[in-house]
Amino acid sequence: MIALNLAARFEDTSARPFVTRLTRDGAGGACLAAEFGASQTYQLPGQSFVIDVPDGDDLLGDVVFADPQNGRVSRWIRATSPHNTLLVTERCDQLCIMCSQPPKKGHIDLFEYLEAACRLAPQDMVLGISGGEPLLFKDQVFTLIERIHAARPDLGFHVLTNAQHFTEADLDRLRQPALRKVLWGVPLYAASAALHDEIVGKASAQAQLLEGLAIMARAGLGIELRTVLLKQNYLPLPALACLVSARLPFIRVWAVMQLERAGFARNRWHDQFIDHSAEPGALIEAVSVASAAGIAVSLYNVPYCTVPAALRPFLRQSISDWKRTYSTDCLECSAKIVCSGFFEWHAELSDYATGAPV
Amino acid sequence: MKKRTFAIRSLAAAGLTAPGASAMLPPPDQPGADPDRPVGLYQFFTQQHEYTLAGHRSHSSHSSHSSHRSSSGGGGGSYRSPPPPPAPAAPLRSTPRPSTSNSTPPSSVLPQTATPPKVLPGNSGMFANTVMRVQSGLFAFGYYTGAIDGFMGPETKTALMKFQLDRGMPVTGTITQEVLDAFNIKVE
Repeated sequence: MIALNLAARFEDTSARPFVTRLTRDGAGGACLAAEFGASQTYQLPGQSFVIDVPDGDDLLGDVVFADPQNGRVSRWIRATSPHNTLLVTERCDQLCIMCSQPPKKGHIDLFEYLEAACRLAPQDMVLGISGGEPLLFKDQVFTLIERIHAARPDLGFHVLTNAQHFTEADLDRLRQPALRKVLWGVPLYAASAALHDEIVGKASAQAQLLEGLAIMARAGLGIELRTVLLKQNYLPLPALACLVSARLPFIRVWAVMQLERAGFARNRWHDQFIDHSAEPGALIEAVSVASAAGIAVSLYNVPYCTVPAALRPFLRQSISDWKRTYSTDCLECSAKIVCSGFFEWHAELSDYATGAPV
Repeated sequence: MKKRTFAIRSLAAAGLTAPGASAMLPPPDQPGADPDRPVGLYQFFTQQHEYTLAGHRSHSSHSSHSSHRSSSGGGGGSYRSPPPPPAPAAPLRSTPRPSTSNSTPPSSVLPQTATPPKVLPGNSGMFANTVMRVQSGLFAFGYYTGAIDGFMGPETKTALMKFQLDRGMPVTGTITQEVLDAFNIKVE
């Protein structure tokens, strides 16, 4: 796993947090000024800080949030990664039973820093925006994306939201190019409203979500529908495929993903993890229904060897490269280049009945 | 103070290696002090550069690289306050930060690191002070003509790379152990 959060020693520990890019020559950021083994000193006017570079890693080009008072440097945008996600808030209005990043009540407004970070991002990068529920701060998120669109039109955004905060009043704004070009990731777990609401821990959530999706469709937004496989929603998955095909044909892609062993799912693993390889029928049927209806389907965090050949064309590499890993059983496997692997905190290969190195 | 500064500069610029100068060199058992090498005289001066730097400090009024040694008396000194000559080593944090700090949403859901970096040569105390010593070294050898401002700007980097190249060191454009050794800079 790649370390995103590094301890650092600052020269001026009383300074406010700041965002900078780590560079070799100091152009547009902090300059690499000294190197002693794995220890690097970066300098910018009035400040310097020392970081121990993790083994085999390279920090140059990264956009970091530097917090002198807490002695920490967070790699917000890694230059070499196609999967950078900025967290807008940890507050959330849902409480999903398997949440990998359980919400917190507090909110620290970091928009000033987030904007600075986006402005320093590498050319043509797509940046994720997540939370918590980012659109609890809808106006600020919209403003951030609009301002960056004006300053850095080369950048793209992927926003993960429960889609329950869009209203008709937003339509004009959503139809502008800045928000139109965003890809919006929206979770939907079941065709049954009762089941979806139970999974996300919020009454009427599915009804509000479908309203939100309708508004997004009217604005012409790009939507990536997301479904995590759980014991709770696995067998009814074909019904969800029917709902998606019949009522949500405007989505760009349906991303179906295996459970991440983190957050709430860590302690509830045996109540939530479904071994799709033991009973692949529901997954095969759901993918068949949706793809036959012209829906683009992608499977994430689903190891290559655990699905029948018919599903393999739908496999995609893991959504977050810093989480991607392989089971110890996978060392010799020849299918790794086409395998989505596991999320860092996922099952071992032995958790699947049919999985074996190829 | 100022006069002393100029005297050293002109000596160094003239490449003065008077035979008598070796008498003033540091004892040979000191690392890097080889009286037969032409750098010996320079090393003598590095021992004195508390003076040199003090002279520069009061004059380097900002971090700009082009307008060096302005005599404006230090107005607009936005870069930093002059560091005290003997920079005390910053205390090393002994405990890692708690993994869930309310003040930092992004990190609290991200993997945490354990220990802060160790204090290594050139990392301790005021880093700008180390940069100044390297800059004055580069200046004395004729590689650098910019401000002794303690800031690793492009000009300093270029000078450092030329120096590293000429001395057969890895050309990094950064301060390394080899660079500190070459200038006989000891960082406590």
